[in-house]
Amino acid sequence: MSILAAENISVSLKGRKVLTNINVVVQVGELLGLLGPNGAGKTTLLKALAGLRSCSGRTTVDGRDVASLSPDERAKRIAYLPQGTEAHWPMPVKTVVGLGRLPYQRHFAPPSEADRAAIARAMAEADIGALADRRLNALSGGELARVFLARALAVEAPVLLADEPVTHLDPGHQLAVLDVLARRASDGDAVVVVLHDLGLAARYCHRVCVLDNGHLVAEGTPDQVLDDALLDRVYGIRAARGIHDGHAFLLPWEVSAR
Amino acid sequence: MNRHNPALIAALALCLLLALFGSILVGSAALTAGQVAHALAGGGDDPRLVVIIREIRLPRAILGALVGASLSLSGAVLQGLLRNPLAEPGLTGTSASAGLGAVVALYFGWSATVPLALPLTAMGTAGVGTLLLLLIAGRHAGTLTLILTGVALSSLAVALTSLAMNLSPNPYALSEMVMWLLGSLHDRSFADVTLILPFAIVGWIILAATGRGLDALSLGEEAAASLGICVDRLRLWAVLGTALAVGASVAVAGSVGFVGLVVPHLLRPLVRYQPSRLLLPSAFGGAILVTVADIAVRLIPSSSEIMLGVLTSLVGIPFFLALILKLQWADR
Repeated sequence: MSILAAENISVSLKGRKVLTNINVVVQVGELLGLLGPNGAGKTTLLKALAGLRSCSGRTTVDGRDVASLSPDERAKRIAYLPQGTEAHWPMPVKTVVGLGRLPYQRHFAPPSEADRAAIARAMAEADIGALADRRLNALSGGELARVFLARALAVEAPVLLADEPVTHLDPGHQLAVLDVLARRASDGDAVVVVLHDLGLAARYCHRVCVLDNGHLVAEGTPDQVLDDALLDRVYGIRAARGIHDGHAFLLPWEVSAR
Repeated sequence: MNRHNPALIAALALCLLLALFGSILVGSAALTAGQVAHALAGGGDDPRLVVIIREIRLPRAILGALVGASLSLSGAVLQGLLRNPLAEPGLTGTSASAGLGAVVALYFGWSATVPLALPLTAMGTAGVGTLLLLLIAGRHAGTLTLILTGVALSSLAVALTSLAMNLSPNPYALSEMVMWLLGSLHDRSFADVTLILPFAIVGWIILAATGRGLDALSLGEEAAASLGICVDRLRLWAVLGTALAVGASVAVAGSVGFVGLVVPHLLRPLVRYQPSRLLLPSAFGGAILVTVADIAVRLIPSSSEIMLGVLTSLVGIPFFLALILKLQWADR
């Protein structure tokens, strides 16, 4: 069953076409990887899917046009985790995670029981319960990434879009963050994640979409899509491949000879 | 997300009441606390004292609190909006723009014919000044861009104000403009309170309503937008609210600088750095600071009364420099 669909999405920036006629459908319970080289348009597509960027074409969530939803209604349906860990005040971790409940709260209203429960669940999922009262400026990069992930989880939206959530993390934290996203998907959410690490994409994603120069050039399971021809054409690389525990894995190995 | 700390609010409210009482107590005519309490409660035997307390000292104290709350609340909102602890109505050019509007109203004699002309022009120019700041410094203004734009806009407003004084029709009008620009609460009446109170209150309500958006904005504009916050609308409300509050303040008290910088900065750790929870304490804190400063200008021995704006700047600027140094060190 599909929950999020983009039909014919095109985006132009300063006269340059950043995305051209993209069609993507995301299923319930799916972890979808958005891949492609730098500048391929992955972040732009993710923002368009989130309803945060104007584009031609149509995005629907749960059958409803994203553009027609009020900001609060949209926010309750689509959680968005931007790239990086931007935070301007050294607030306590619990407060930051609680910001994920803003779409459910009116002006001046204190958090409800449901809000508190969602915050606690998100913190448990991201394994940051012990950090609840720590301030942001006292955290490591890995801890920060998990705090911001928990903020997005606390929205408890049926769709979660994450832009490069593991890029600056050590391997342990990369696996921990992707484990959380995979669990969300298996619990019935639709998760779209922008990744640069092809090995992790092959390991975790049910399906991948590969963007190149604003075009969707391949779509399917990682095994189908990430073959030698595509890696050479899109990334200009060759990969080493192997089997571990019955799963195929790949490791970017060298730049293709041109 | 607005869970206020009741103990903090109660403590600030108590300090404000004490400061207001002190402000009524202190002045050239010596009064006792008993006389003040009695006159405020509606009694009083000596009509001369009753007039001093109810019609001279009380409006002055109330105006001090109004001005302080407005400036400090505006500072807290601007800091949240621009995500920068150095934002302040005085530094962003808002106060200078309001001052320009007020001087223009004085220059053309509008304020003599229509009492509302001065606050209205002050609020109008404050709004234009803040909008220009947002347009020029842009969305992702760094500290440097922000301060430089504020300096440029302030300089422009001051230059135009100077031009008005330069061309001033008579020495009396000139001295009126100068005295007024230095910032003071001397010789104000309840007419001044009623003149600005409606604007200040509307400004406060608008500013208070930005709290939710400011919290979200602390995660950046995209995250805020994804949480259902319309960032452009938030920015517009903040501009409107600060223009009303700062314009109203400048219209009665002239320019009183650095209140909006100092108070939110001191209170921020007490509200665990959450922008929305900073707003109410900042309003109280600003009211206390200006009321106390206005007591100080009456107590400091000098040949003529030190102007309120001069005092807050003398105290605020070292604080500002210390804050810059602290940010510099944090960047290393």
